[in-house]
Amino acid sequence: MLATPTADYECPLRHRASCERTRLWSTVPWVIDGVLVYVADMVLSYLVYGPWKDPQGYNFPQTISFLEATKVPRLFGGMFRVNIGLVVALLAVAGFWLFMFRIYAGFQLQVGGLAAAAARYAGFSSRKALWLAMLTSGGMAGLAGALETAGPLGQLTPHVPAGYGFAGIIVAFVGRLHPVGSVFSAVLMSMFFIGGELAQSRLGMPKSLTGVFQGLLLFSLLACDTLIYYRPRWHFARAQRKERTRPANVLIPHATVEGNV
Amino acid sequence: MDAMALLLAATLNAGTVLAFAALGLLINERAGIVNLGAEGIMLVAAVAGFATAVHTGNDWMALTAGAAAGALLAAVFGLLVIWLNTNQYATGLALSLFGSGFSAFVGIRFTQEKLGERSHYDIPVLSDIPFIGPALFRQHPMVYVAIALTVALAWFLYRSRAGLVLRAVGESPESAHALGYPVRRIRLIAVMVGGALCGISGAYISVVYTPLWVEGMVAGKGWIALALTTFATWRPSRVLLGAYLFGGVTMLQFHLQGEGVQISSQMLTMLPYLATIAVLVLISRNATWIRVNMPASLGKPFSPGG
Repeated sequence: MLATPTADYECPLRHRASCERTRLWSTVPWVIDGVLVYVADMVLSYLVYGPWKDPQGYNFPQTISFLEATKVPRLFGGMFRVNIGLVVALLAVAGFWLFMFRIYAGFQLQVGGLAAAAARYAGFSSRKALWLAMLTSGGMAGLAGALETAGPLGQLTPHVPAGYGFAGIIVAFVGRLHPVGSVFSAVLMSMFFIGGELAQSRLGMPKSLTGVFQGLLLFSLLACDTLIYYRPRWHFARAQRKERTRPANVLIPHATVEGNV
Repeated sequence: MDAMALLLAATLNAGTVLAFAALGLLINERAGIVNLGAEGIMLVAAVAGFATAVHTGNDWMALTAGAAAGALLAAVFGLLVIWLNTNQYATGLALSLFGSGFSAFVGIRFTQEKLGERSHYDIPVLSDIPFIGPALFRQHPMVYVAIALTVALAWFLYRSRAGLVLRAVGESPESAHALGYPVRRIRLIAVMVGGALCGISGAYISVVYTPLWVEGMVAGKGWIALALTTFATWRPSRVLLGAYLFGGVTMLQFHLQGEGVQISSQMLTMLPYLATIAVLVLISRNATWIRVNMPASLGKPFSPGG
């Protein structure tokens, strides 16, 4: 399989394992993620401008179109554009669900993510969990990139990376870090991409609108999380200025404010 | 000799971009907030600065506009992260996506625009010194502002009462709160000041560094600046040094291309990114070193309600 150009990888699995656990390290993996995107971009453009350039391509930066035999077959005899990647994705979701909720190693992973101290106490190896999560999620992202290039695109160009990697992170969050949830959020996210392209072709708006909506979606989702569990209450600051130890406005857990509306 | 002077001058210029952003992020992180949205902030500020420069023709207005745009975006981020206690990493990422999308959307009408004649800045006597003159004293004033800012920030953090409070908020917000300091307000101010500095950096890119607007032109400098704060163990002077170091790596690639080195340009462009990764990996090997220097509450939400 081809190396994936959009190899900024993310999936629920990895988040469960790493986000909470690596709090100490926090910025380091994220920054490496962010920077690797540019490295992958450069590798891709090196290949399509250099050794892999189509000799008959009129010097355009693109590889030759893949041979039919190396392309991913379409479903339903090619009636629609959907290819076998859909089946692979659904199988992967089923596999992930099985792994996360029915297999011991998946349980270890979840404990590590939710309560690192508990995992350590239980003797679960955090190193193992991290490796497992990173390798699986990297592999899945690679699969996604390969299916994209060998499927609808059929060749490599510098425009292969369409931001699916970062979108994948949002998919994981919107899908509430659950394999089944990510199916629905993935459909939603792909609508964003299609909508962006439609806005470009029909309305003459830039495609980058997609990113605006993706960012806004993640903003609202994250804010929602807090607003579901807490009710913000505005304490009037003036009354409290004298005793500054009390905050100006507080997030109160719903449980404690029952009947105190 | 001349080439060396030019390389040095270009290094200072590129380092200034990184220095502003990294110093801004340093202020954030000293207050305990990680802002992964730096890239997005810088892009929006770059387009805001460029638009202002096109319309007013004044670089200083452009830099101010960039700072304002940065502070505004950072304020949104701050409200989410500080008052709604959202995950800082995810929120920063959202800001980063939003910023790159929004800047491309707004900037599409500026892709063809050009800025007027760029003014040259020569310091009267000093710029005539043979080697040192062209290398050090023919820079945009912001290059020297970055150095002054570093000194000022170091003084602020380690010698002033307000700086002590800021550090306390980043190390232990609970203690600062118990002492009666408005932790969340201080954090918001820190985030906004940091955002403004990132904004200045973004506007500097589109107005001075490469005076034009191209979609995604910040090209990962926000991420490199984030890496720099860790690299510099959260100290202003080291941030400045690191910024020049990375600026040098960035400029080296052009220099090498000019010398006709037989390496593909993509491989050379990769250099600063690979250097960032290498540095982070090397630093991460020494866990205690980071733990000793890192603001203890970095990335942790704080809610005074308990």
